[in-house]
Amino acid sequence: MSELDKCLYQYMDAFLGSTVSVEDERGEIERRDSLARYFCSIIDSNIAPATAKDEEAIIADMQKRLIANNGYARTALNVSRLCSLLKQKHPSYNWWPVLYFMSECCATASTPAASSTNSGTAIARSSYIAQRTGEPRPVRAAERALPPYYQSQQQQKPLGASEYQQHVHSEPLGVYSRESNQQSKYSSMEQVPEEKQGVFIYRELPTYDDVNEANLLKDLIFVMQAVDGIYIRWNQHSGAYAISPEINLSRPTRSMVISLSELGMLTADIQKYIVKIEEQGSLFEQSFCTELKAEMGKYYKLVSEIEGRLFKAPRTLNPGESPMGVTLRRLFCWMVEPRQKLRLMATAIAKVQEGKGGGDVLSIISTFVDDGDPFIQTFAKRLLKTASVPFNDILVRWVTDGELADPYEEFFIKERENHRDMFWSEKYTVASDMIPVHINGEMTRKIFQIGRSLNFLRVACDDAQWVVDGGPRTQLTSDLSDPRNLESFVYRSSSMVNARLMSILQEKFDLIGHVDAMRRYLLFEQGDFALALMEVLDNQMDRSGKSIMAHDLSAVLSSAMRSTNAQFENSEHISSILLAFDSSNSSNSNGSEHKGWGDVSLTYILSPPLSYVIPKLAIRQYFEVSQFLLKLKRVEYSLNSIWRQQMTEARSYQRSEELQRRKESGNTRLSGGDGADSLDAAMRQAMRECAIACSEMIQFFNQVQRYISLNVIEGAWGEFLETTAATRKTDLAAETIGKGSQVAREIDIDSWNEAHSKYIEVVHEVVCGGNGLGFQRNLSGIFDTAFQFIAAARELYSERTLSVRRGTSASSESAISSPVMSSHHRGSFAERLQKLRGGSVLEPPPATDHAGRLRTIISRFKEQVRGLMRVLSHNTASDLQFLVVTIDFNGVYTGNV
Amino acid sequence: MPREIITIQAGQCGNQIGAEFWKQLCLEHGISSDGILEDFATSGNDRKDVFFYQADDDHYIPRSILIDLEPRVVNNILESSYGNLYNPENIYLSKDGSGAGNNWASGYSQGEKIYEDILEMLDREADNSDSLEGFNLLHSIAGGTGSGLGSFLLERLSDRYPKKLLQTYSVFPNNEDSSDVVVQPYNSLLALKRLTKNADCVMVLDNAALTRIVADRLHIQNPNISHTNQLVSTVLSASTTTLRYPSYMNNDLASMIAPLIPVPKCHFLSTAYTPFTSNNVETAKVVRKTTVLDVMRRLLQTKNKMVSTTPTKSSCYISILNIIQGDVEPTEVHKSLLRIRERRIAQFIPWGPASIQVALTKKSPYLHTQHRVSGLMLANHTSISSLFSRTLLQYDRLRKRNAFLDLYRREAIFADGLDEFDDSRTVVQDLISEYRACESESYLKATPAAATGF
Repeated sequence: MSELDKCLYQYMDAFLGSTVSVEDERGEIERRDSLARYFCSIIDSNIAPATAKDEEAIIADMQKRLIANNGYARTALNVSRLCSLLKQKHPSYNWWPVLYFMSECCATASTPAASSTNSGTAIARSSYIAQRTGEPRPVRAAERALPPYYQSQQQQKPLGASEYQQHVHSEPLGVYSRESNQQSKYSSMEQVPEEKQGVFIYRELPTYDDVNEANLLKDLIFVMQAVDGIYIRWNQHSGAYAISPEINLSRPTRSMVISLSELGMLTADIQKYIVKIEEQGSLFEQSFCTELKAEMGKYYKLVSEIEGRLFKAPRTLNPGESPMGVTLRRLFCWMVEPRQKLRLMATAIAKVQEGKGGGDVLSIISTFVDDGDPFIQTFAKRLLKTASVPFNDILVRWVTDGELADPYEEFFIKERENHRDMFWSEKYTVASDMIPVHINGEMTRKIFQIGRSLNFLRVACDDAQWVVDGGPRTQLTSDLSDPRNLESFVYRSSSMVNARLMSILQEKFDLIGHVDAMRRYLLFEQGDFALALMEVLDNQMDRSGKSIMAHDLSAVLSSAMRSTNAQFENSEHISSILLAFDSSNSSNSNGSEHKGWGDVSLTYILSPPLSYVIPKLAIRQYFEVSQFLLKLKRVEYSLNSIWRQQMTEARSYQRSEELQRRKESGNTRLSGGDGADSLDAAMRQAMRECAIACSEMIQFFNQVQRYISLNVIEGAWGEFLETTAATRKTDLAAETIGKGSQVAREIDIDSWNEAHSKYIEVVHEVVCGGNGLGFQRNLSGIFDTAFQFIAAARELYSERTLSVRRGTSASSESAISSPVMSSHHRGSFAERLQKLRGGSVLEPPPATDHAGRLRTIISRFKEQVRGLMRVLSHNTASDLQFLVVTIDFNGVYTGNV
Repeated sequence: MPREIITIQAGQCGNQIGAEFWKQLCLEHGISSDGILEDFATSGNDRKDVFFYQADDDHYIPRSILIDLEPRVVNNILESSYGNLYNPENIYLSKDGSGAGNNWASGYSQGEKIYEDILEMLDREADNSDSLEGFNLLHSIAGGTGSGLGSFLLERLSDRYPKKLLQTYSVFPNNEDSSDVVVQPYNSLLALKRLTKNADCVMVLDNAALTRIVADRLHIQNPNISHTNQLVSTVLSASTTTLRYPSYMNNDLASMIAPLIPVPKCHFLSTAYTPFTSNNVETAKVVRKTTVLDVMRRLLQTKNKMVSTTPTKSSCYISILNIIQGDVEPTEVHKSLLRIRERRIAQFIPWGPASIQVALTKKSPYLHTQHRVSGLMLANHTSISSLFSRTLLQYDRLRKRNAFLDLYRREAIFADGLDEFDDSRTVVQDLISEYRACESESYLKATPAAATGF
């Protein structure tokens, strides 16, 4: 095979599809061989054009033509610019042939489609034409040499129904083409050379038919039922029916036959699908099939009717003559409509097979409903109606009973396997690719919500009676297959179900009551309870060393409850509150190896329907916040008790001093206030510093607590109430305005939950949050310092009480026995203590030591507060700035006001 | 653990303001004048048991002890519609009913005599409570009974209940005209010593300021004692709202006054309240727009303070607690605080952290006021010492002339001499210098000024 032949074969492949495989028909190979010979003859006859090989001239010529064609000088200039660019790139290359070729292409391709097409095939194609048209010598001889079967091939091309187009039926529909882009382009380009080509080929067309019309019709009857006829047979290679190459048919006959044979192909496809679905198909596909079968039945009936007429007709019929009325043309006309239907069905089948099944089936059919063609529209509507019957059944079941009866998992709502307990948030999911297009996003959400709510009402809230008697079922009047009916039904019942669910949750299960109880007890809004809890815990702390049992925890809690207003609380709320250890750390401290009382926190146990509604995460967040607040409360409580001790100490000191004074003035009147000075200055100074430090800490923790409780908790709580209540209020208001706005604003469990999660999330973020925000981390150092201070202060006071008791007893004794000795009592505190302890090994820390220790603690505290303020003031996002301001209101920490 | 507070009303003034106080509490908690819970009082988020307890028939009885040395005022109370409220066992009227004759010493000495009876009442009440928080003494310091007997009680309470808080609401005399009680400077001085030494927290109210407020705010030209008592009862009830309506913070007396009193000695708190309205007085019914900022600003104004002090340049706040009642958003509080800080409306101590602390409290659901927000300020301000200085001044003037001292010498405490006067003067002088010291930056570094405190 010569180089030229190879090129030609490649060329043909590009046009006619890939090279035939070994097993392919011989006819095809022959056909290609003859084509190659035909091309060779064309190429042989080619004579080069008598034009000077001048690049400049060609460019000028091109420019001229461009201006003439579209009048844009800029485009023309662009040509010369591009040419000079080309030449710059490869100066040595001879550009003339290329330019000439392109210029010729432009000249010949008069239609804009051809000139604008830029792909290689297009150029090749036009070059093929160019070569033929630009040829000075006519090539008729070569054309005549074409074998007849090739001519028949050529003849089909103008119809756009070449055998090489695999699925002719889909193209004219314009809805969807299974052909690749390449192929459709190919077919559209086929149109371009038509006229030019026609000049040569039309002359070769046979104008007579080899077979008479009656035989053809007989054949067609078979073909229309997807059975091979005598002349028209299934061509495996092209995937379509083809007219046997042995016979000649005139062009119109041929085109009619070909288009009628398409029916056969469609029928075959549809039948195949029906058989497949009957064997194994899901509900949706089955119902889709039902409609297909019905349609096919009609089609077969039509065919048989035609057949009946045909056989009644006389055997021989001249073209145009038909006493019984069956002619090829009539048949063609009759079959236009069925053909369209079959095409639509076949296309639908193809798409459905491609799609995911389930709701997707309906989506695909719905796309046809939107077609501009009223015929397709009505047909598609019918198709859709039948096909959506099982979908509607599932839907109705779902929206009236909250049950998912979907054996083939075709519905767009799915039940999750392992989440049967999570009635609300986890049990069902929406498969977004299964949603039929006629149900929009809002509707989907509402449908999902209705069924979910009903299911929840039935299963979790024990309200099945309502679902049966008063639920959306009562609203079910019209046919839901009509999207408009469905929409109004969904909107009606969604608000109805929602209202019912919310009211059941609120009234029967006291949802908001529980949330409020969590705020009051876990976030310590119920201040008296918090205080009582502190007190009981404080008593328990002293008995440390003993492992804490579960009953200890419950005893503590119940004793705190009993003594406060919590005793009037709804018993259901009370029983939900639990004092517990952090469960997340229980792994490393299981059994009796629990930590101390300092590690307990409050948690809230929700009973079933509510525990399904409020996610576990939120409860966990409550727990963590509560843990922190408890710690804060404990510091506050301890500091307050230090303060109280300091006040009563001061008072008792004053009192003893007063008594002393009176005694002295009464008995001896020796001196005023001498004996009262029973504390040395260092001790006094230490206590004073301790008092001031204590007050500083109290103020600091008060500010923090105030910020968290008022700004964070109450702020978030207020917002939460507003979101949940406002919607209810506007709901009422909207009723007067109109139904639409009411629907848009009503609150459902999800938005309620969202609001609630946001509320606790905000609180949790501030308390335990990351990125330098959380108080839990920022305050841990300060907490430690505060606890150290509390311990040190307690020690100081116990020392003092001891010393005062000794001091007063000693001085009163001495006052009675030997008042003159009073100066003796002014000996240093440590001295006296040592004396009293009888020189024991235990050296008591002198007051100065205490003072020093306290001083270190308080200066560390101040430093930590400054550090915290630095951290806080870097955070500009929240209103933490406010806390900084209140802590440093008079500028003591930062030094500026 | 309700953290009960036992109220002791001593003397004419104490019993009068006490009566108003209980009336107000009853209204706020929905308790009828017979102590029976009204039908509408169903919301159970208030804590009645702080100030009341329930008798066997469930009617509420105030934890209150009424003491007077003359029967007139107490009898008036008992004859009023609220007469049945009190526990008759808790009323002590002196047998002879002659009163203390505006003599501190007389009141004090009579205290010694009736101590057993009163102690019995106190112990009974104290045993009646689960977790007694403290005592609340209502009295005036100008007269005889409230001042003298009150002083005596303070001393004894301090001995007997050393761990309990002793809070007093002390009405100081109208310093500007001392005509009604001539020996008032003596009485005040002597009582002041006890308030300094034996009380944990003294809410200072003074008649001069109260009269002024009645005249200015309530627009009453000739204010009488019932008007001022109304003011006092308002302050009393407002300052206890956080105890009675539990919320996040300040739910017990200690946590409320702890941040206010950093130094045990400086425990004299002044109060301010706004806005004042009275339904009984037509001209006082004006309703103004109240925002948190308005309220906080007005609270800092001298004209709303219930103490007439003369602040100097260096006087400053040691601490402030604003109890804001009503419909308040926390963000409003922010803005107000920032504004006040910006404008430097309040001057604070230079040696330690101090700020305006804010407590938001619930309102009684049964009382409806026209005002959206009302506020009470409890402030520890160094200018309170000017009040003491004035007392000292008047005392010195009187003492120089040795006027009326015979009345005092008659009583046991002065039998051996007038040392008590001198000592009291020293104590008050110490107190004044302590407050002065608080104004200076070097307060922390200074050693305790006097031997009598730390």
